Amino acid sequence: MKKRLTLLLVAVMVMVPFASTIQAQEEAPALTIWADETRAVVIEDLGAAFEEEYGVTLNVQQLAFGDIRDQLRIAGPAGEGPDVIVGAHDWLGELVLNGLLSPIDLGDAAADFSEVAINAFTYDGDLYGVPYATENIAFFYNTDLVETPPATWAEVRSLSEEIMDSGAADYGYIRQEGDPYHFFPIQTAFGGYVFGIDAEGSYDPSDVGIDAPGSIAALQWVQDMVKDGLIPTGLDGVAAETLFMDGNAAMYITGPWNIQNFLDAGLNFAIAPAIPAGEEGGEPGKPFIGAQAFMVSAFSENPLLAQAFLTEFVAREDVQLSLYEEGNRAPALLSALEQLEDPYLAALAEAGAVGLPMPAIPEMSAVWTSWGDAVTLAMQDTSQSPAELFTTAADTIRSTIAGEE
Amino acid sequence: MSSATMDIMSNKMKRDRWLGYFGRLLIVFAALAFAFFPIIWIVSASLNETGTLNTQKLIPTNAGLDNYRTLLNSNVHPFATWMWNSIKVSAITAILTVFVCALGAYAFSRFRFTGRRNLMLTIFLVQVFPNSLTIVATFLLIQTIGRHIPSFGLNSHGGLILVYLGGALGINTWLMKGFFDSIPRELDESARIDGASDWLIFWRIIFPLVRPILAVVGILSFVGTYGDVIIALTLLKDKEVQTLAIGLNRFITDSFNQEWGVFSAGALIGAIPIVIVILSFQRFFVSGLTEGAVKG
Amino acid sequence: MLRLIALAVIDAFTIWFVAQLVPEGEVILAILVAAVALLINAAFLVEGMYPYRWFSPGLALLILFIVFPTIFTVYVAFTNYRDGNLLTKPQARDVLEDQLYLPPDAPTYSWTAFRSTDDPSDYALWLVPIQGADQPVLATEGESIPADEVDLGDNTLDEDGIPTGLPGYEQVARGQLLAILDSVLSQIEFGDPDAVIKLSPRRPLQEAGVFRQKYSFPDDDTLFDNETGVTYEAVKGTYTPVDGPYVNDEGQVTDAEGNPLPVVRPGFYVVTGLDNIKRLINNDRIRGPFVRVFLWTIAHAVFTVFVTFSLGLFLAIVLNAKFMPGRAVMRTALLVPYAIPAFISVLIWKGLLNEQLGIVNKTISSVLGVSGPGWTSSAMWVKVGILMVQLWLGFPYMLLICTGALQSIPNDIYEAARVDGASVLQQFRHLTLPLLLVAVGPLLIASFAFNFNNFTVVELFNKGGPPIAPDTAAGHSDILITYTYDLAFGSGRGADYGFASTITIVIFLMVATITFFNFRFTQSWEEISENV
Repeated sequence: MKKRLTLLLVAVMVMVPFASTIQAQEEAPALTIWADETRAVVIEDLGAAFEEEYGVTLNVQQLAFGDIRDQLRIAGPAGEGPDVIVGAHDWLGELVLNGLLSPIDLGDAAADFSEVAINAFTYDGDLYGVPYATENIAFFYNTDLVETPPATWAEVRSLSEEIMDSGAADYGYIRQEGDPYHFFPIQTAFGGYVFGIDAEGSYDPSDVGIDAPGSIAALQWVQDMVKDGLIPTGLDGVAAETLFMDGNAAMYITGPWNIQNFLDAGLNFAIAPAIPAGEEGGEPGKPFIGAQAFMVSAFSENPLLAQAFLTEFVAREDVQLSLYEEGNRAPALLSALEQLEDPYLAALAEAGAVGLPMPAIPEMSAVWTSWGDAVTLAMQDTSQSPAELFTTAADTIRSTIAGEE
Repeated sequence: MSSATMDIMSNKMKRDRWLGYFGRLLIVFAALAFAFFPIIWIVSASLNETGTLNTQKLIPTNAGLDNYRTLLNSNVHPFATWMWNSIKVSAITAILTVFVCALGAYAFSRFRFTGRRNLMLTIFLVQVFPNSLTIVATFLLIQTIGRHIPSFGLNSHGGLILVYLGGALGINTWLMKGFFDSIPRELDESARIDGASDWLIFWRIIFPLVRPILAVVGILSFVGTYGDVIIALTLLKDKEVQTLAIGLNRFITDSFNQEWGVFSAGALIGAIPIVIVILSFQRFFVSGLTEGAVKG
Repeated sequence: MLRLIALAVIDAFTIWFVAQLVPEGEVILAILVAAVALLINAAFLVEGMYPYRWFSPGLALLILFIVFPTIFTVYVAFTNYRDGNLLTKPQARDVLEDQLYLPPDAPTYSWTAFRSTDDPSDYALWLVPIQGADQPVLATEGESIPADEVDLGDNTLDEDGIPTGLPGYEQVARGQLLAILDSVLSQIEFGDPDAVIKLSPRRPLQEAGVFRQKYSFPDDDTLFDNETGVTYEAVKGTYTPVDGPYVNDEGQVTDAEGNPLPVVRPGFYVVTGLDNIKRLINNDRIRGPFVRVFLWTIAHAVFTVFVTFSLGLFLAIVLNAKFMPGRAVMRTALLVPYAIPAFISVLIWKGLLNEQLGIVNKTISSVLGVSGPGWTSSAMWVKVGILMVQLWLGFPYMLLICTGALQSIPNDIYEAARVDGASVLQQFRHLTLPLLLVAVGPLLIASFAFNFNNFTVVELFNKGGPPIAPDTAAGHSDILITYTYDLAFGSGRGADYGFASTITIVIFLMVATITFFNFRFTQSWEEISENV
């Protein structure tokens, strides 16, 4: 035993210096960008010239869109994250709260971008990204089934009844279960809201409007549609989209990302310039306006280069136009937008003119789930009262925002 | 018994046998239909050039090989690389898992020592620990290791394999132990009398005898590793090192741009290695899992 | 001898690795690595530890890659690791220290970089004032020279006020600037040491100025805002304002307009003791679904094992008849579901079971004339759906193991039973099943353990939905692991790793207790460990 130990000790002494020669290699500095596949393709295509011109390396890593946010929380603080990410503005509250993003400044160049997009990426007075697209949903209708788009939700209902009675299509207006984002235009059409707007024009988290009378009226309208068999139960987003795409449903609320699919399917459709109102002569429904941008990680080891990449690359016209081609979302750079003659884009923009920015407060994730659960339950189980569901949801949201649990 | 009754009996038996045969055949065909129903679906989705998995029809309206072409020719998603990475990682993990597991199972089966029962209990409990939260710690751990030994760090297959191997000494060790128990101890004893060490007994005598269970554990490990998304996605970010499961997953998790056709094509091609592994080890599988266990 | 050399290699490696880890502050990991190495040494050097030699590779990997992350989870359970407090203290400090501000009277310039022709690592910035300064400056490392004192040689200023050249320097082309921004230019302290000129963190390509650090740290838990003069104390890892130039009657620190100041983000996570557990106990919104989720978790695992085993066994018996021609082929064909990775299979099934468009419901409505069940919207049918998917995923495996077990049951037992006049059913109940269960018992337990935490199937099938009520994070089909995952990663109510870890541990303790008593006070543990 003793002999063994001595032998071992000697051997170890000899080995330690050898082991120490295993050294970590230095990695060459480069700009790491996390993008979803669609965006990644554009960056790789156009990025080559940029790399050439400026002598920097762009290392594009593809992640599924939602994974970009989730993985950034893990990898960012550990210093293994990207320098630049592609993301949506509703991530902003959460990412800034966690100190994961660096603010940037466009100076006068900010005026080159759509104001909505810049506002969407401004949080507590700081800008957190160079936007490349804006988007909003609108009321799509099948022109073979609907001649003029309905002006009110009451008309939507009577039109649905007409279409279904005549057998022209299986359904008139349809919507997927839950999905508060797509429910919001109906909610606002009936006078409902999510957060009140304070004197400075920004959202006031202390005024939750999920249980406002208008919000409840909107949910009641949807539930009645389901109860009377006008909207089928058990529809998820993909199923609803397919029903509309195949001409089995006449009206549907969706966004620019589906335009290409509808065109490919040979569907005759148009986008209503306004989302139906709650009552005759009322204000049209307001969609959320969303924006997407490139943002800089607070843990970037090349923060200046990352910011320069945003202003020198993302803000370029050709880049913005290429990004538009891949997703049909309106470019955020005005000079790029002006070059486009796209009737769908124009209609979307018109419907979105009354739109509201999507709130980006950190508690938003809590809002989405409670709100969405209430909408889902109202549609799945028509015996539940919309008023009760929305009251419960609103109470939950209030206590979450107040920091209770 | 008269010969007449014998005749009646054998006729009855024949009839029973035929009935049994057809009955069984019917059951098997029903089971086959159940097993293949979704697979036919994915085949037709892979041939369909438009549409989504949800709305797939049995016979695609516009069939073609476009999805396969997109999958294999695109430089956006290096499918062949992903597949090779998956095979490599899964195979190495499987082989090492089998080895680590066999060592443990041998000790559980042949030695009586303090802490034996507790160790078995621990292994079970570790397996049921809800590990959805450990991913952050795993990431940090592999990062730390990678700072010093890059080939086992983030973005490396070495690191990923190490994490998978952490679970090697799991419930599969129980499985193996059961099989080891069924190998008569007399074999060990006689070898020991001839002066063989434990290692020699394990390596030369037991190891060849327990090949069936090794194959079984190997396949279980291979299949499990091949389909993992969460750990692989967290550790591997570079396109060139990612595995098939991450890549396939990406085709369908992008909420605005789901490519079901390409996904289906990828899933089908991706299943081939597993089918090959299962088919080639099947004879072990069937004879192996519990053969010896019942004897004892 | 070989063994000793191997051991020496391991020890040497360990010493080196631990020596690297400790200075980095990875103490827990260093201790674990050392413990693992000690264990290995003990196993190989101490006679009584002999059997552990066989476990050393497995245990070493287990401790490092499973136990270490588990310890981390336990630690997190006692912290407020969640949105807003996601960083460690040094990380939060780094982020805050990186923030700069421009004092009101500080000058800003637009800059042009020049590189020394003698020494390529030496740079100078030609600075044209934007605000706060009246004439251009040439800034080199540690020195600012007013433009009128700079010797321009033959060069002149262009219309932007930038010299066409500087003696001993050449202008850096725009194309080369980006590559040196972080690695070179931001590392050099241009200008007077007490008024260092930095590239703007917001507009690095245009602007430079005398930016100052916004936050400083007078002591470990105090943060001072150099711009506003407000002092913040770290309260549970969040920098909360405690003192400043403006304080209102209620003692709140405010800005000049009298609005109370918010906390400074990001915060860091700290040990908060039993806060999370208290929350779990006091909050019936969380506790309510917790019991429900727990019951379904067990039911889900038990039923999954039961249905897959039943079908697998049934098919194994059917295919076990010697007179079945082609049974090997059929058996192989039935294994195919096993070859498709589970996450893919679940998605296919999700499509098949789509309530409106799925083939299953379409067939039901066209054949039976009633609408099909709500596979994703009904609390009951979603569970049926999950079990059906589990059945499809799991029966091939059970078929395999049952086939193996059946073939190994000696035929003479059956003959003896037949002579005694036992019916086929009796034979199955009293002979086949008991013998089979002894053989496959551990496999069924393994399968139970696996399905207890089967994240993939439950999460992908319906994300744990349908929802129970708008005020709870749990859905009808949530099992514990999907429920905790949702809580932790904030697909719902904001990420709260700390709280999710607490739930994880409570779950684990419950399972561990049940298992422990089960094994200790019934004979099953002995049966499983000895008979098999």
